[in-house]
Amino acid sequence: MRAELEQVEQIEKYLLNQMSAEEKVEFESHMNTNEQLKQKVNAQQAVVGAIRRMGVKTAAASAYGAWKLRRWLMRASVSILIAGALFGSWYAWTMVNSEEDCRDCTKIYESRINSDAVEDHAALPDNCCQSYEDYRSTREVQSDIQPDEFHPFGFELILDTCVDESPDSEVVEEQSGNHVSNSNNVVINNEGDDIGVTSEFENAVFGADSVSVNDITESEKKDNQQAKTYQPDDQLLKSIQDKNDLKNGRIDEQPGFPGGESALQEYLWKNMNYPLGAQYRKVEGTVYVSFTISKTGDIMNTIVVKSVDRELDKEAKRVVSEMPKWEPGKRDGKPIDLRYTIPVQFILGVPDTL
Amino acid sequence: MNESKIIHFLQHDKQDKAFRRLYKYYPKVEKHILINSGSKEEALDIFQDALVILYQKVQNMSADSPIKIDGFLINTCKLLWSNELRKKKVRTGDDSGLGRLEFKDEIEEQMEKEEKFKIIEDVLQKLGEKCKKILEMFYFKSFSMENIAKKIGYKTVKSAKVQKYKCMESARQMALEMSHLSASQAGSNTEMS
Repeated sequence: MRAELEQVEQIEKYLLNQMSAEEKVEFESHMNTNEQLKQKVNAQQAVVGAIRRMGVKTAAASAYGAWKLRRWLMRASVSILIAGALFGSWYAWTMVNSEEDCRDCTKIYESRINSDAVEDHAALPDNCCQSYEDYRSTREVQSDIQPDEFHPFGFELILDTCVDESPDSEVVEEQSGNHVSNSNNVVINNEGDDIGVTSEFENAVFGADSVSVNDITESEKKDNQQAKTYQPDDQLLKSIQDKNDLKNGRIDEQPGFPGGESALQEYLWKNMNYPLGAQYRKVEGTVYVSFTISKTGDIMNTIVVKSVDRELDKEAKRVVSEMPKWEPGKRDGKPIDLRYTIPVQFILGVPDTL
Repeated sequence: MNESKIIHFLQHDKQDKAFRRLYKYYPKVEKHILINSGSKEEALDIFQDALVILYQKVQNMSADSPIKIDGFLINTCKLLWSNELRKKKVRTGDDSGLGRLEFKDEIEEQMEKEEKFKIIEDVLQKLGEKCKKILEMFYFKSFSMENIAKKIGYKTVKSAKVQKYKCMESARQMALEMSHLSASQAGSNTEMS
């Protein structure tokens, strides 16, 4: 090794503190007398410092990449979390809103109300579409409705749209003006003149084929045909009468669709689309949609109480929930919440005149 | 808690971890520099210089030092940027806010020390890649000579050592010339004035 390199090694040893005490003393005294050596030591020390600094700088620069990647990953995971939460809530929402996933507990509730003994109450399933309390309050609202107090533009929605085709339609007409009301099923048939009003929609694809307030449990027991030819039996009428007697409220003013019932017909007719899937599968039927007309006239808590087909249910529910504000029903001049059910009819084979 | 952790990392050769944490102050610095007519690249350069200054400062800092990491780092960036602007003559005399800067004296003291290294760093750029690598591995990463010999591909440790001394010698030579040059420049400057 050249002498020069040996000197480099010595200085390195000195700078890294690898010398023994004696060596160090000797080296320092040598340095003090030799200006050139001193300069070299200083220069070498500066080089070491610069090299270290360079390393630190490289580390600082590469940490930027690591930090950026980390930040990006954090952001990505936050977005994924948000997206997950959104999807989760959307999923939960659809579950809550899906009629298929909740149970119609009307019968259980009814038997509960009818049997007065509290201890007889069977446990309620926890997936009911409507809570027991809601059901009871709705039921009270219904029994408030007095058939003879019906407003001409109130709730007589309609109207069998296929009067001409249905052999039973005459029976329906015969029953017109015959208001049947019971505790959980108030079926109000139309007054004769209403048929006239809606006859221009005779061939409308969608329409309600009878008017009922609230739940259709009764109808559920019978098929469509039976519903049309329904004759109240004496016992039922008596129980209805009893319930009516019990009721402590009245409805002074029926809620009404803006523009009246013919406007509602028109609204349904204009805004409904026959779902393509259902058309393809040739599914027809009447979906009963129940909803609350709030004090402010908003349509709330729309549920399908009698379903026909998933797609038809969905469309019926959509069009009902998108209805414009109603005039709320009134009791003693004050608007009140009322719950109603309307039938929405889907019929295939519509004439081209539509 | 976090601060003492960062100081610990910086003092114990874990500057990578410390720097990664310290980058959380970068967006603030970038904003400051962008507002004051700088670019993103300049902001990053300034921030990395400030990290190095902080690192050097922390190396011989006692545990009871009043210096706060975040304040020191951010103020260093501000000072560095105002110096940069002065060099670029973009802005003059608008440094009134910097006069009251916390830790200003400590930062400037450290920056002065850095200047010397900065000049030599420029010199080192002229060294060959291999030399730079060996010297960095030895002096910065504290690798053993055996390890360095293996990494660079020398058959014996001795030849690696000789290479290292040669590299150091030429680097030292360049540094000496540099200091002579700057000394003579400084001399001529004083003569002229």
